[in-house]
Amino acid sequence: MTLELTAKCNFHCPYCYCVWHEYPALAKSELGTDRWKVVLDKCAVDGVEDILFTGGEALLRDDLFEILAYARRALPKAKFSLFTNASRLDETLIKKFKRRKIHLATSLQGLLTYSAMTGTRRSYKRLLAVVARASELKWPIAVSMTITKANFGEAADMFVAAALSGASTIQVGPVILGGRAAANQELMISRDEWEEVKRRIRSLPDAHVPYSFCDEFICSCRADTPKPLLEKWEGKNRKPCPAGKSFGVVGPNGLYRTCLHSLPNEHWR
Amino acid sequence: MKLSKKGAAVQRAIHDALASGKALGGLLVGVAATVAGCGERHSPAHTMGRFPDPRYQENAKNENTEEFVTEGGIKEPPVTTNAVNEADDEAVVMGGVGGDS
Repeated sequence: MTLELTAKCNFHCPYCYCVWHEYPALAKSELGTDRWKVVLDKCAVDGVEDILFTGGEALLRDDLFEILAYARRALPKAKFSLFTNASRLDETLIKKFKRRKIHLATSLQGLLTYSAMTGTRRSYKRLLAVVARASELKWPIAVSMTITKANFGEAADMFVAAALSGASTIQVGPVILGGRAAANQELMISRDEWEEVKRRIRSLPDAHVPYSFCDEFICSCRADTPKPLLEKWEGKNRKPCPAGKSFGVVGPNGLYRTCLHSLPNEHWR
Repeated sequence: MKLSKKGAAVQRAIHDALASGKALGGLLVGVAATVAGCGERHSPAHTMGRFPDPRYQENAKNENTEEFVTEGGIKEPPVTTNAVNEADDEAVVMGGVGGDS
């Protein structure tokens, strides 16, 4: 289960998949601490085994550790992960998450393009340093990277930089149509370019880090995708998404969705 | 963010290579194999941000060498430049550029 604790974020990534960039109403009326505890109680009753806490930027919530502590009491055997842009992550917090056995994941949005791909004035350097320090502290961070038209040329370097910095795993995927990317489709790479990215990464010397590729350009959970766009981007070997069967998402306002990329049911409006 | 001498040297090697327009792939040469069976797998879109993917652990149980067998970072990052000789402290400040959007 993915819990999107907040829609607030201090980054402005132009390809962000979060659906509230298309439907701002989904970012309003965020749940308070007590309501998230109710959600966690429900997760416990339903036997949820794996929870990803994310946002927005989850570390912007002042009550994050109160929620996490409650979650651990409610679901003592569940696996917890936290996805963060790492802007607020430091050694103290890494140790805190390690003590609580909360796995960490982050995004490497680019290297020389990091500022543009995060919509900030930040540099990739701090992000890599955080990943490296977490590895030194024996609590390595999983790194995801989204390939756009802008960072396409440095995709292999991004992979190497994450690997050398001690990422526990690396996941690479193209921009997925949806969220802010729906308004920035010029950032989407072609399937040929995506294959080129994979070829470049596969041809690198072995980085000794598990990695994976995500081949989807459009999430199959999105029923509202216009047909011309589906025809343009849909893969030939598309597989049914297990969303709603093996996992689900609770958004910032408490509405359930089957997947990160999908919308609530038809009555949500 | 403070890093060990070796960690700081690796970061400096990355920055130096990028600054000089060199591909980073060369920095991987010489990396000692610390994790067995790493490689590639497919992951669907909904798993973005969900790592460490528990399926890696499943693979570990299965000991399927065609798949990943374990999670893991690089325990001994390579030091391929002279940067290590310049790191005279045990740690180095790797300051980020401030300013949120």
